[in-house]
This record gives sequence, C-alpha cells and structure tokens, in this order.
Amino acid sequence: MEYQDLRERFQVLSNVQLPPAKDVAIERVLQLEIEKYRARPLRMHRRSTVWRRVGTVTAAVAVVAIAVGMVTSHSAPAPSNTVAPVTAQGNIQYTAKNKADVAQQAQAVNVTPYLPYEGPSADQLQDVKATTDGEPRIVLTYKQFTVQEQAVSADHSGGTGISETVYLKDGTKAFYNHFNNQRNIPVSLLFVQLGNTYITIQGTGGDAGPALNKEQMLQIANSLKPLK
Amino acid sequence: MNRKIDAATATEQLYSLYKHDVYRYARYTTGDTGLSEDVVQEVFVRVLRNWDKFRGDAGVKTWLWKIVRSCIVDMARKQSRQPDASPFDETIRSHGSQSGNALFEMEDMLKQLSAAYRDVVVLRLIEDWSTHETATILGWSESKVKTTLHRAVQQLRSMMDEGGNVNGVPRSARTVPGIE
Repeated sequence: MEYQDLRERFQVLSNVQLPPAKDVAIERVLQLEIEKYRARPLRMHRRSTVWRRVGTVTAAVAVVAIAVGMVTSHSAPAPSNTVAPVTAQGNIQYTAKNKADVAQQAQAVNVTPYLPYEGPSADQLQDVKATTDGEPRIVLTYKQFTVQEQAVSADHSGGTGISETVYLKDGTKAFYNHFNNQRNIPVSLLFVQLGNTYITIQGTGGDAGPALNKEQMLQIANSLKPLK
Repeated sequence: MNRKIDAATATEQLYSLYKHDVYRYARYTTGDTGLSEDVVQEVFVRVLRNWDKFRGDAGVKTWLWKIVRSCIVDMARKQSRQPDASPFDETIRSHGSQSGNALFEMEDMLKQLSAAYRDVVVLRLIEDWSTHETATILGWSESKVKTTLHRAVQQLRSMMDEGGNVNGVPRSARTVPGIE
C-alpha cells in the first residue's frame, strides 16, 4: 500500500476516540433534537405512531426521574425533598469537616461536587485536593479508589484497554474501562457525567489490592450524590 | 445504509458508526479538541435536518463528510470572530493517555502542515479514504489529491529526518502535563 510506513506511524492517531463523557452529552442533545424532529407537524397518517413513540419516551423518562429522584444536566433540578438523606446510608461516612473540605476544594476549581456513599467494603475519605494540572478538578482519595471530578469533559481517548458502555440504576450512561498501566498494574476506570460534573472513578490495584471490578465500580457510581 | 429509513434512525445509526471518525477528522484538521467536540454535535444535528435531502448520488459517508467539512468551516469562522480564540489548544494534552508521546508527536507534525496538506494526509493516510473519495470530499481533482499528498509526504519525511523536532524544540525537551 502507498506510503505504508507513514500509515503505520499515523496508526496511533486512528485509535483516538470522542471522549466518553462528551459522547454521552452529545447523545442527549441528539435525542432532544430527535424528539423535536418527531414532534414537528406531520402528515396525519404518521402522527399517531410518532406521538405514541414520543409519549413512551417521555413516560419512561418520567418514571426513571421519579423513581431515582435525581436528574442529570439537561433536566430541571429535582426538588430537594426527592433526594434521599445520604448520610444515613452506605458504608462510606463523612464527617462535617470532610464535607467542608470537599466544598472548599470544589469551589476553588468551580466544580459541583458529588460524593460516593457505597464502596466494595467500608471505606473513608483519605484526602481531597483541587488541582489545576490539566483540567481544573478535585481528586477524592479513598482506600480502594479515587474519584476525580471536573466541570469540563475529560479527554479519555487513547486508552488501550477494554471499553464498555454501562448504565447506572437510573439509566445514566457510563463507560467502564480496564487495562494494565505502564507499570503493569491493573487499573479500572468508570466515566460518568452527573449534572454538570464529569466524574472519573479509578480503582487501582497495587498496594491497595486488586483493581476493582465492573460491579464494584458501578456500586460506587450508583451511590454518588451531590454534596449537601 | 437504506436511504428510505427516517432521519432520526439514520442520525442514530450514522452517529453510532462515525462519531469517532468525525471527531478525529475535526481534531486533526483543526487542532482544537473543544471545537472538534462541538463539530461532532453540530454535524449530526445537520444530518437529522438534512437527511430527507440526501439523494444517494454519493455514498452516505461521502455525503456525511461534506457536512463535516462545511461544519468545520462554519464553526472555525465563528470561533475566529471571538476575541480569545486560539487555533490550537493544549487541552489535548491535559489528560494521560496510554499512547502518550507518540500520539502528541504525530499530532504536532500534522499541525505544522498547511491546511491543505493536513486535509489530504488525514483523509488518505489516517482515515484511509481512496483518492477518488478524497477528491469528492475536498472538491478537488484526483490529480490534485495525488500531488498534494506527495508534497505533504515529502514535508513529513523531512520533519521525521530532523528527529521529530517540533518548532525547533526537541521532543525530549518538552513537558506534557498529566503524562508520566
């Protein structure tokens, strides 16, 4: 093949992908556009089918929103009384100081913070810090995992591991990825967008034990609640 | 792809099939990740609105790429009117990637090419379009595609012979935030 050597050099660029969090955001926009498209004035013979379809989607969204009691970025904020009292559940507890620290660090980088309340086993917040190395973000460190939160979509392209689309209990789309890092330590990542916050959960092996598996990562992601 | 499917279904299918290709093309031709993400969104909104006008004269992917090029031109023009617009951002480098430096080195090389060279290199060598398809997308003759690619390749080889120095700065002397 012509210019084969250059094609091989450029091969590394062919693996770059749209960042998962952005993918989710664009899909949401497209779904809204599609609903608008389907709801536009139509010929009579198509109308009933289209409205039935739109109705089904709307009803499904409503059921999920009511059942879960939380909403994502393109929806109106949920009334505060629909959010379950978070401190009373889960095996990760926070002190008032923990929460104040998270709020302070998040404010410094303009991030709306979320906290996990469930982990594979009892855990606690070890450290929280804001960083501007790369996109401004906060990094929450626990014994078995870390959570990075930022207001700008992260570029997660270039990973060589297995990437899989997964869903939280409320239907929110997320991406699970696991691979061995440059030091051959297994790493699992889960990317999800909640509200305006792009969240990366990382379960790292090594001293802390084996990398968390998909179910454990989902368990953490499902327990994320906005800081109150 | 069946041209008779409705616009919504076509949009969903095309998005699923080509979102990453569109993103890569926009990213490598504009050098701007934020703009590239916006381009992806805008492209598929335009697909939804224009699917009924697609007559099937060209392949669907070629038709899609004409929309991509038109979006990039429109959005780059819009961005250039904004006071803080910069042609190439550094956010590409802000998060770790497994393929790290090799990726950035090749992107840097692309950035040093002229827009026409970059277009033809991305389409022919990265996205693997044929000469004929590339000519259709760019609105060039096939001979212009071949000539331009040949010159672009000469420039690339010359850069590589110089040891991958980018803008006169050796790769080894540059720091990439977030990359170990």
